[in-house]
Amino acid sequence: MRLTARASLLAASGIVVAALTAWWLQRDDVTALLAPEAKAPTRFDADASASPILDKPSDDTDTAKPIALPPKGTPLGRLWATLQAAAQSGESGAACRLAIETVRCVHVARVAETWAASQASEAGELQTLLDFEGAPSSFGRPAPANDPQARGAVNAMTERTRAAARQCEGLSQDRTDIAISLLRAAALAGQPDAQAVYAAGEGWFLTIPGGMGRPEFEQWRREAPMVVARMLDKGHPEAPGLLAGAYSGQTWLGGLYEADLERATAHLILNARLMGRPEMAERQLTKVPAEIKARARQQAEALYIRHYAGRPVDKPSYYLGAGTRILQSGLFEGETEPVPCSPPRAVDSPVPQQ
Amino acid sequence: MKTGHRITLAAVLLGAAAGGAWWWMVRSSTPTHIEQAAVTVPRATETTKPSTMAGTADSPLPALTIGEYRPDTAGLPPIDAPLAVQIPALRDAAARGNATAACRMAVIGSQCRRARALGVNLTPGQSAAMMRQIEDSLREQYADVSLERLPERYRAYAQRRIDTEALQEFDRFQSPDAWGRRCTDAPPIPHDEILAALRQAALAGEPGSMVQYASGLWMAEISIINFLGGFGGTPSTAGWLRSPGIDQWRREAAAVRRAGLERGDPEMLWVEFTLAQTAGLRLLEPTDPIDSAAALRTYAALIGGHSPESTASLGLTPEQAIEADRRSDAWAARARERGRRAEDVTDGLFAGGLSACD
Repeated sequence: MRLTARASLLAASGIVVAALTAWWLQRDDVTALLAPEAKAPTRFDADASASPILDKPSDDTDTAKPIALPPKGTPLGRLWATLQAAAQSGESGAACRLAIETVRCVHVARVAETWAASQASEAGELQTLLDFEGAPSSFGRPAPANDPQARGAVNAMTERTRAAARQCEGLSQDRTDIAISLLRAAALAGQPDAQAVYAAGEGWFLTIPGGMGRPEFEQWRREAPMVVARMLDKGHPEAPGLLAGAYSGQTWLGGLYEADLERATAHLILNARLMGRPEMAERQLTKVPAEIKARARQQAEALYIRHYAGRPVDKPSYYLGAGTRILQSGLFEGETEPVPCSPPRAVDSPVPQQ
Repeated sequence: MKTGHRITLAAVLLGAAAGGAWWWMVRSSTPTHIEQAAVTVPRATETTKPSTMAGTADSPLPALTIGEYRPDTAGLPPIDAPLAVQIPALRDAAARGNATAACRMAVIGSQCRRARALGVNLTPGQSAAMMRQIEDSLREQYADVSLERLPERYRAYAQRRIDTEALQEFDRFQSPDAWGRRCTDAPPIPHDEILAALRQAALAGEPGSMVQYASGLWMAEISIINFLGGFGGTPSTAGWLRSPGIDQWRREAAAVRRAGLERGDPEMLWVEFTLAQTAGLRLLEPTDPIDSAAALRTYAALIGGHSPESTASLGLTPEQAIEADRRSDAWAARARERGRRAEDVTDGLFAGGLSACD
């Protein structure tokens, strides 16, 4: 069943759903789907503090001088040759990089495969897409199928996915298995990018075939809320988005939380503020009662002051894409995603006290 | 049989959730060949090595006894009775061990959950566009995926079915509107109870429930329902991933899948070679290309009524093909013993509603 098979693939491939949903919600027109806005970096300070709750893979992980990570675009096979030993001996930056690049490559392989076979330019289907979206901004525009710019974007996407797939040569099941355990280890060691991907969950356990059968899924069910709490404490830009999705029950991470509309709203407002697009939150809040909204605004302000004010905070993802966007690296035009797990920027400013 | 309407509706919801953006992205592209799937997505399938899988791999499958399902409607309310009347009666009957009641509970619970989400979040125009796309894809379905690799005579058969019965069934498709009206006065069924009912029906051998349970389609659906609920909606499934039902599912799903294949249930075969080969629904285990090929061959045998060609053309190694043929012969023999037909899948794909369990 054509749609069904595809749909079901994606049902399970939550990363695709989350990421594309995020674009959809941010879209200005259909073409924007093909050229999403440049991605913002998600670096911030690596968490060097020990947690009494989370078991770290190695005590010296965080105190060791971070090793230099290979440049962006390094083929996966070479990354493994370069970083595997360090990663498996507890160097959390190397573990983070290997894990994220490997999970990303599993995803890339699937996207490249599906995109390559795609006939996205069929006018009829595009029209259906437009009908479905009912986006006023789409009206009056030429059908993308006949729009040279849109066609060019499609072709460029094809080329990018091919290139991304080539860069992923060297992917194997064994490496994927190792990568998941490295992802968890790096997250627990406080690597920001690993924290975001591990905590969101769906980006890895739905992407890796059999992901929910792995022991890490069981561990994730216990640990993810603690990881997210720690992220928030450290001013991680993706934390509000993860919590907005979680408390609203809209994401897989939300399967671990009790629904809490006020908290969800507060984190959504905070996420939009960090994105620099406060109006995005307004669009989402139509169903939220005014009194809850008012309390949530105060909560968001307090959260901002406590965790983010005075810190250089990178721009986060849209809340439904929080924690999974980094796995899309290499697939989209104009992206400025930095090297995953690159040595963190030093952050010296203390957390302001209220 | 009733696998399909649930699968189809899951697809509907997915389409809605991603708002077409996602749909565009992947539009035509699910790999339709086992060969492609096997070479493009690296995984342990070459050797079917279970590697580090928890529960499903390093330990043997749990000993589950899957029943031979016989609908038992004695004492159950009529399926057109108001749901507010049906639900308490079905709940009681399911608690007494009536798997048909459990099956109906699972259908009602998931249909209403999904209808509520759709009802509050889709405009009529969106619904119409979605339904149009579904119809188109139904028309393409067999030629595109299921039968592409089958001999011509099977394709003609399937085309006939889809042109006649299937689309007639589609006209009766359980639209969100229809369920929305029915569900208006029905008390929501808690998530844990829906899952428990699905499990009860699956372990009783109800083929559609077995597919739902084993494949994790029920999880995919929840994720979409939650998304469709929108921000500020009232998630009915808060905390659902912490439920003990999840642990149970992780222990049991692989065994249910295996049982469905080995007894030659066409519903499970169909899912195995269409959905599962993409790995997208293999939440607990990596795809096994031998199973996928064997399922395809078995399904073909159930259409043609005789053993078709070897699976050697499906991108397997010679040794794998021998094993796939062996499995397929055994599965097909069991299906024939049990009187299962390929038509059961087609019926199931387009049937809808509570009659699914009967």
